[in-house]
Amino acid sequence: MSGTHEGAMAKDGTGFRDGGSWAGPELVQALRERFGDGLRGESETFGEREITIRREILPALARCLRDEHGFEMLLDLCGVDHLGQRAERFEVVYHFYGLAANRRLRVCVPLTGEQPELPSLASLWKAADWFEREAWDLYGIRFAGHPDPRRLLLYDEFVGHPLRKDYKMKARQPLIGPGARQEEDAPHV
Amino acid sequence: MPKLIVDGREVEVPTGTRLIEACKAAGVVVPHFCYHPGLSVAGNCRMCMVEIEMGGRSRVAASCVEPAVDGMTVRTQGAEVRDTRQGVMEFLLLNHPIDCPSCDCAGECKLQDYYMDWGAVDTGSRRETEPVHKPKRQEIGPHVMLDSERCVLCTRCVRFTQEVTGTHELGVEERGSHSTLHLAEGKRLDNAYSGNVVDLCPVGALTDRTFRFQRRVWFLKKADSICPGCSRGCNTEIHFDEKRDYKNERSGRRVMRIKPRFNAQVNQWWLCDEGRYGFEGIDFGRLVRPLILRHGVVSPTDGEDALAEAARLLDDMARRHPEQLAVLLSPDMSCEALLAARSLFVDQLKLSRVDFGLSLDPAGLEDGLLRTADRHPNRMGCELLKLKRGAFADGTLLDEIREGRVKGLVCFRWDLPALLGEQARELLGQLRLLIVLTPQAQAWGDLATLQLPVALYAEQDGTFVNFQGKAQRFHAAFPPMGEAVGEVDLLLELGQRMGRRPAQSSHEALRKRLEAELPQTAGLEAPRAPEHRVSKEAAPR
Amino acid sequence: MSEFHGVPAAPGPRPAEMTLSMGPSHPTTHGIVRLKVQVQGEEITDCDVEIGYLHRGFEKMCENHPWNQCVVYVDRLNYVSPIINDVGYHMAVEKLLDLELPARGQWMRMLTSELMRVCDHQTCLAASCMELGAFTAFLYLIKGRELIWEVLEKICGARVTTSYTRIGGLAYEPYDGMAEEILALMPDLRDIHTEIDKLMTDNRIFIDRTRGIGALDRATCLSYGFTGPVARAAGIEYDVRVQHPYMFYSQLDFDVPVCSSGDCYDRYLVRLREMEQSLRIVEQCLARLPRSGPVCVEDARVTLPAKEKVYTRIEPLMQHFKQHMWGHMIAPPAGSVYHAVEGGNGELGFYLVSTGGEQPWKVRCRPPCFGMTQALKEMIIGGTIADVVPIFGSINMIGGELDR
Repeated sequence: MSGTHEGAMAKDGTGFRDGGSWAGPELVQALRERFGDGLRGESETFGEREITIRREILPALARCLRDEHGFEMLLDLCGVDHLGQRAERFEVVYHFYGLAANRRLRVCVPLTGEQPELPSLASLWKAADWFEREAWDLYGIRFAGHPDPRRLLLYDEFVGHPLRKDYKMKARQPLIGPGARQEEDAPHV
Repeated sequence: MPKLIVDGREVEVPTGTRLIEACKAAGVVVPHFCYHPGLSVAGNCRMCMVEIEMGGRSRVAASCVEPAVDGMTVRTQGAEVRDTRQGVMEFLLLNHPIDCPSCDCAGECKLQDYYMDWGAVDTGSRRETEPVHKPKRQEIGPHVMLDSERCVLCTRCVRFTQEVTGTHELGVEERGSHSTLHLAEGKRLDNAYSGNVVDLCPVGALTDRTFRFQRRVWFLKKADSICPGCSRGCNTEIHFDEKRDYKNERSGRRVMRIKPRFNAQVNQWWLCDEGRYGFEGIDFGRLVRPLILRHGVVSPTDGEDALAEAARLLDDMARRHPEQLAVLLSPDMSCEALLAARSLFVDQLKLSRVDFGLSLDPAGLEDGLLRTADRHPNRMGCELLKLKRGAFADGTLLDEIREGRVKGLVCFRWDLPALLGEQARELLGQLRLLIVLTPQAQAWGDLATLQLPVALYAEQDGTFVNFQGKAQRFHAAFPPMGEAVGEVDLLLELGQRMGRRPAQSSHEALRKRLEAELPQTAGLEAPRAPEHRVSKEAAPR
Repeated sequence: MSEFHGVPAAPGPRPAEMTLSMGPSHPTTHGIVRLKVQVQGEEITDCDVEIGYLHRGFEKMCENHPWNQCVVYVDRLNYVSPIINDVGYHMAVEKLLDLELPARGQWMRMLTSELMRVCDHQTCLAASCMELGAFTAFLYLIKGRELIWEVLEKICGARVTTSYTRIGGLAYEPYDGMAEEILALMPDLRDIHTEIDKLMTDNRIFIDRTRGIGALDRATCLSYGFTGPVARAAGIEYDVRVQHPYMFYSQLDFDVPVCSSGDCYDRYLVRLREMEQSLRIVEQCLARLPRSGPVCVEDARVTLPAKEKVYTRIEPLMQHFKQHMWGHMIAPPAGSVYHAVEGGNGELGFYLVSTGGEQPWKVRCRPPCFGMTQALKEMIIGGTIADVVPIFGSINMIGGELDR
């Protein structure tokens, strides 16, 4: 139609019944040889390959995954708060995908302390930009080197990081705007 | 000591142990209705069947009846056991009414739980006749409601009234599928322990009338506590729900019911009705704001003002006329509170007229089961902490007031009209200073210079020592109502405002001192914070 | 030049430069999004995409509700194709529980997902065309959507907030005559789609407004995490149904349209062609849908018994109760799982974390339109304000999914 190149996708790939092709043990082996004990652990549950790494190797690992192992896409990046469940309270979970090899990989980075920080991957994948802003907004996880570390979903005057487990679901926020008066005992987070 | 294998686990138990207890020792809970460790064995429900292999032979038998024998191999899972249990369930459910939506027991019902645990096999389509109907909704006693249709005829309640209370009110009449639980001729279930049959009943046949339709059990939280009704100190659980006042018939209700906790030395599995049903006073009739008498008018005030006044008045009298100031503590107070009071009034203010009761205090009924004559939970605590019994022995307090030797009284928790009698009202009016620290609104409040609201046992942590000398801890279920404060906090604050520096000025320091003086209070498991979601299984039966 | 809402004017004598707010209340930025654009005349020189106006705390709500109750929140993610969200979430939970639905249930899920995909594309194309002035296309497509919604309402009781799936199955059985009714729709739907094709595909005005507008190169698209029709319009051959087949997609015969330039026109074309492919899938599902049999797994812990039985027999009543009482509900074992389905916009992933409780510890939705909305800045800079309209329409930003 009118000069566009229309076509259809080739469908000779064979997917797995459980709905996903995940990276295999050989990838983990290659990463282990490269990063040594920067790779804290790996597991495969529900057919999903997951590695847990130390935060120091994150930028190098990410670049290695993208440039040497074909993980072109960062599909998802999110924070998790394991308050009361684990000693390392926060965790950032990355889901990578390599289109050519059709394989996924999950990378988990546990973080200690109440002010967790991690290097930003925004220079490697543009998608990381907004995902990291969201993780800061909702969890209070900082990303060093992020080009634009602002809140994303919530307004600027919002107090706190609501997806943290110690933020009560029904917490109230201070009133803002020109008409609001700050009383001494105004409800606050 | 017979050694046997239960589900692959080896266990050794004392001779004569029933198999069901042997399985429990091996960590396996065998489902059962009629068995109860506190009652005789009936063996009529047939739910506890297990497969026993011994000497090459295998049979299925009731584990509540069978004694554990050396060399047995027991299987509580497996196809044959499962079929047996499903068969038992089918019979139990055949005539069971479709009452779950209106049955209080939903959420803690053995039929519900076992149905799902053991295969959830719906055999209802095998019915060919009309279900048998039995009397429902019978008020068989002041506290208990009976629904005979829901009854699974385990006879736990029957055995309870025979063996524990000896009152024989309940029995089973008719036979076959028409067997019905009923009251004996001319009797009502009105013994002093009638509420225990509700705990025993594995289904919703016997239910609490006070709890009827009040709250679904899955909304309840529970806190471990001690009943303050007498000096036995029965272990209890307070079941409460503070979050859904919109469901309450009477707004402000937090405590929904009290259940006993098992304690082999104190109360085993039981609780008397007074302790079980006497929780109205926790939520109603409370003093929630400090009241002050100024210029002949009693008016509410805030905590700051009240404490400042109290400190000023006490300090004034303690400095100038300490011999005229009397302090009446109470054996309803926890050990920690008594210690804080002793620290302030005896050690710091050096008062001589400090006591914890009067002989006017009426005694209760002592029965052979749980209740003791002493209606207070912590008299032993008072005595062990050497809170001078006898400063006002034999009604001397009233004489002292009459003769003007006592002009100021600080009274903890006592209901003054009940304690002193109506005629004492005029005498109390002669006092120059009357400070009353009470959880309940007082009838003679208009005489008091200051009425300070204090927290009840359900609202604070503490320790009681029962008449056997056993120290037991209780834990706050919810924060104090309104502006009520725990006595310990109050006394520490008063001491500070009066410029006195007691040796123990924090909860931790008081606890340490208490454990040093009363060694039996040391090493007790700290109470747990309230937990969600009550399950009847949590209370051992 | 004075400040505008706290944003100072650029330095130097540029009297035509302004900072404007397109949105949040702008007909184009439906969803809702605010584009703070710096314009010189008509040309956009800079832009800040501000989102979050529809943030409703989806994750927080899910963390505070039992597993089965999260479906109502999941519905409201991509609210133009809610069944796809339902299916995605529940497949992830079933992965945790190791449950597989009977074939009939899976065919129904596929069937309704594809119908919803058609609805999604119809809505997207309708809105985009209307914003370019082609109101007729809007009306025709919405009429097509109505036809589907009427059937869906009969299947699951609702047009938009369907809550159609449950853990281990579906809320309702298919109704008698459903297959015939859906098949009867096919000619009408195809007529409408053909009509749109005739109206828009060779339309001079439409081509002028959309050709060469809003395209990004392949590497940039991958870097932003584009998936779905927008990615396929740029030549990225990725469809979750093909690369990671779930349910019975690998047994079906359908094409996945792909274009090459990734501009707004190609995005329109891909969606148009995809609707036809989805209808093909629906026909195949109907042909293979078993006429009878259960749609839910036979597991008493998750599947509710039929209501007629619940009201008349004690055993199903107890089972119903045991699935709904706090302290007795289904609690998937501890662990984490990621499951993705092909949503209307691309890879809709659910990352669930369970700690063995009755409520999920975390329900993360990977929103497919997140990357595209982020890329909006790059797409519109250098273009005119008028170009924002087709670009924004072509990425199909759904507020519920974006902001959650």
